[in-house]
Amino acid sequence: MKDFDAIKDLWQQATAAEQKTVDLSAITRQSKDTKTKLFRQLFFGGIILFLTVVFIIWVIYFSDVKLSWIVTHIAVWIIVTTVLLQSILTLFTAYKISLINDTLPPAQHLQQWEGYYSFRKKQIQWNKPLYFLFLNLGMGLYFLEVVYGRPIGYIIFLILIYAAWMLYAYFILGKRILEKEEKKLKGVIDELKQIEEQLKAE
Amino acid sequence: MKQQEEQFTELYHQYAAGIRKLCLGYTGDAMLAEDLLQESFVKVWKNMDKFRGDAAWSTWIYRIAANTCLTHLRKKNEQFVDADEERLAMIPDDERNKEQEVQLLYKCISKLAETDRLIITLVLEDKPYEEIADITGITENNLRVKIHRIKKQLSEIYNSYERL
Repeated sequence: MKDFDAIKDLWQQATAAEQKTVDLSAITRQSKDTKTKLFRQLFFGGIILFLTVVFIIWVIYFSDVKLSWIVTHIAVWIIVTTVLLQSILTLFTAYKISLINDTLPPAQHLQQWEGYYSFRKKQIQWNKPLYFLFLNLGMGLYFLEVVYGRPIGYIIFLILIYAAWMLYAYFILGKRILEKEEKKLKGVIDELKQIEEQLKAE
Repeated sequence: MKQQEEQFTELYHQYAAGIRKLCLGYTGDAMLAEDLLQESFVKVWKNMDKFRGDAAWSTWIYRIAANTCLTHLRKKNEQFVDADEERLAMIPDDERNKEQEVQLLYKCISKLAETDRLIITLVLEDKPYEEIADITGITENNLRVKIHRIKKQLSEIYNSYERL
């Protein structure tokens, strides 16, 4: 039967694991920093989306590709605007991550993470469906000019394939992914709330 | 930059052992504790320019480590605790040497609630209550109540395992 003082003695007798030498280069590579990993993922994701916008504009207006229909121009601008807005939103989310302060007292720090995850949860509810809808609307309109003049059977076949994919991706695949992400985020938020609760007065 | 690197190295040598024990107490797993230690010092390195001297280096570094532990995913932790419980239960009493007793203590601490693990580890490290209050952001009065409860709880858990 050990009392707390005996436990404390045991703890203090315990030699901390061997002291490794400081590998500053490993530390500055920040390989294990979750916040940095999340930030990089979002930041580079935003940059790639922005570069995609630049690439589409270059292809449509500065390369040999020539579009004659107004509908196709509208389609391209729907795609460009959608991807550009997504890029801005992704970079804004990265900015929100960068605002989390690791040096605050735990309760405030946990609240910042909770705020971030709540923001993400709300964001995926409206952002992903909208992004998907507008991107596919743009793509659908764009293909009108591409398939024009082809045999009617071929056009109907393409429309059917495209519509089937859209319906499957939106109502089955998209919904499943969304539910999974929402569940994951809810789990994280609940866990953070639970830990915050532990810090309150007894 | 050179000066900052030197200061960082000095801080690492001074506090890494204590932070490692804090992480070990929190997770009960040496590998995971090493990851959390590294993650904590990544944050120390990145935030060094924000240090204004309002608190001691020790308080500031321990707070970063506490935040790192608390925001770490819990699932992994629970998985290995179960595995280790089984392993420890299989070791006969007479074979349990000091190191195994320490390992058992880490496991017992990891059975506590997340914030309780951090608080009790700091108590075991003999940190003054004032500093623990600064690190955790809990008022000293509330902290005393918590510590009283956690000490009792830890002793009960430890003794129940030791009887196995």
